[in-house]
Amino acid sequence: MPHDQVPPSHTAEPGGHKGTTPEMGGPLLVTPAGTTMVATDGLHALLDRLGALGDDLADEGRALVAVHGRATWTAVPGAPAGARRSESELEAALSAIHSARTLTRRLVRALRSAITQYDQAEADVLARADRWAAILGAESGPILRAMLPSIVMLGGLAFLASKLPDPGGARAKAVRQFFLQNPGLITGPRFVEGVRLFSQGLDETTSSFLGLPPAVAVALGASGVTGVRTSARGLLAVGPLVGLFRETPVKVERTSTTLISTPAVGAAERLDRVPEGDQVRIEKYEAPGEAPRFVVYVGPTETFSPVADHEPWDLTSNVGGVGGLDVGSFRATELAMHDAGIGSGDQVQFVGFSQGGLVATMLAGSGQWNAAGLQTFGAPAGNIELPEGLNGMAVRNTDDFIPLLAGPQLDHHLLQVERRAFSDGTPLPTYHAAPAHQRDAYLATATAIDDAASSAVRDQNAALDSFTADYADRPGSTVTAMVYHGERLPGDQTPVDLRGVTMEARATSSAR
Amino acid sequence: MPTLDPGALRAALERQQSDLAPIARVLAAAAAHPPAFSPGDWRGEAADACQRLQGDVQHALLAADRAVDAAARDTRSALAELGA
Repeated sequence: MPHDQVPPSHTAEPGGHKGTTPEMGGPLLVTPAGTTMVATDGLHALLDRLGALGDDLADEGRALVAVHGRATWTAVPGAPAGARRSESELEAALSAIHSARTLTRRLVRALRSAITQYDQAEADVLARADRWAAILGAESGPILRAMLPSIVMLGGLAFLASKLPDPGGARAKAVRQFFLQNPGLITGPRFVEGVRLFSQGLDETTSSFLGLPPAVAVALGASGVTGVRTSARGLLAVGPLVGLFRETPVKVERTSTTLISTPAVGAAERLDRVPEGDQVRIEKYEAPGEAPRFVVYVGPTETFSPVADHEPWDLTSNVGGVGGLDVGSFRATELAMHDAGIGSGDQVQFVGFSQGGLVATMLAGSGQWNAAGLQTFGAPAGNIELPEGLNGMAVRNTDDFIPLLAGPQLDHHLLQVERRAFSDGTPLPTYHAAPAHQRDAYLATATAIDDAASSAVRDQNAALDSFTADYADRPGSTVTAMVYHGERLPGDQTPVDLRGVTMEARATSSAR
Repeated sequence: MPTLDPGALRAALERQQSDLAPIARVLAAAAAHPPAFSPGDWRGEAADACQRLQGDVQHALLAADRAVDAAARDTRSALAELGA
């Protein structure tokens, strides 16, 4: 086993950004776990400092009261003039400290109230927009049904066109080129808001399309009977009829096992260890006399093809994951975890990017593993419930539409950190159609997280760091990194046991 | 306070001086770097109101710092008087 060599993961150096830098984006927006109070990292840090200042003033005020109590120099015959003057100055200091404490408390209240009012106003605006999207969706059924022949015809034409010879993939290249030259089309808060509204109104639209009266469609959507999850499952129910979104068994193979010496420190280093190509990386931390700890890094989507072929990190897993189903990438990751020797009682920290973040959140919320921490980047996982007391954070770029595909953030048991990757006026890179969802855009955000000033962010980052550093720093400790490659198997293929570590998980359609 | 002999007076003033020193350090640091948000973090009416309050906190901190500083200075001068 090679020693001290980092197994293949993403090749970018931590902090080395190809297309963006932390300076190109906006400030961090922080929502501490258990709250819906969104404010910049700077404002949260200010609240921290004001809290500490209030404590200091209370301590020093008490100390000064004691000094003043002993300094009754005006009553002491023969006391020096300086001593007498000091007595009145101590009174002035006490009064000023009292004022400073009172004003500090008032400022804290004013800040909290302003943040809450702003968030409430923002939430009201979003809720109004959501209601309109729901009403629009609920009323759209008759129009969509009337347009159905045209939609079917257009779909058929598009399907036929896709079957026409395309030497050198010119058509695909042209489409790709178009999006590359116009990255602003799908990057930015406006498009993200559009995606959010679309996902919010999708259920009402579907209900209305199926013939339900608008009031019923809206009521179903509002009651939670329908939702993004229902829409995703609907897509998975219909897709296989035309050869799309068909779940399959999966297998995993361990491709490398390496002893390493250093754990990842900080969000940027954790994101950098999220693998690509080989989709899962598991680090096992062992310290003498202690139960092992594990970090499971889960990679992003490898193919966006809706046809399930060999790759489990595909669109089928994305849609099924949003639908809350045991998708290929989820099962493959669990297989890798079993192979790495992770028991249900072992403490595990999950880290994932994009679809990897979705899988990581599914695993942390499954109740099947002892999740100690979770850090996701750009994960469409806002509709997954998480246990209370989980360390870590969900990181999203606000100009990245992918996380919104799972609908709005519903669970608040985990710190939420958001940031716009490309501020207004920043030229968008043209190397990818959705630059705000790319790893380098999230590396920039992760770097900003590592530089965060608020205790809300720093404490969670430190908790994730100490989970591994606590073991790695002990004498006699070892850290083993195992990298896995997952593949889909044709439904009828007998699984092959490769090097004794390849396993198979049958496709299921069960909800988790 | 009863009449103090010069030795007891000196001891009491020395104690006051040493008690004031850490208080003065904390207040000087707070007054030199008062908590403040950057205008880039936040703008608007509420921000302006908070900024005014922030200014009031800073003034109160400065006042406390100056008063404790003056008390420490006068304690020193009292000790000097006793020593003269």
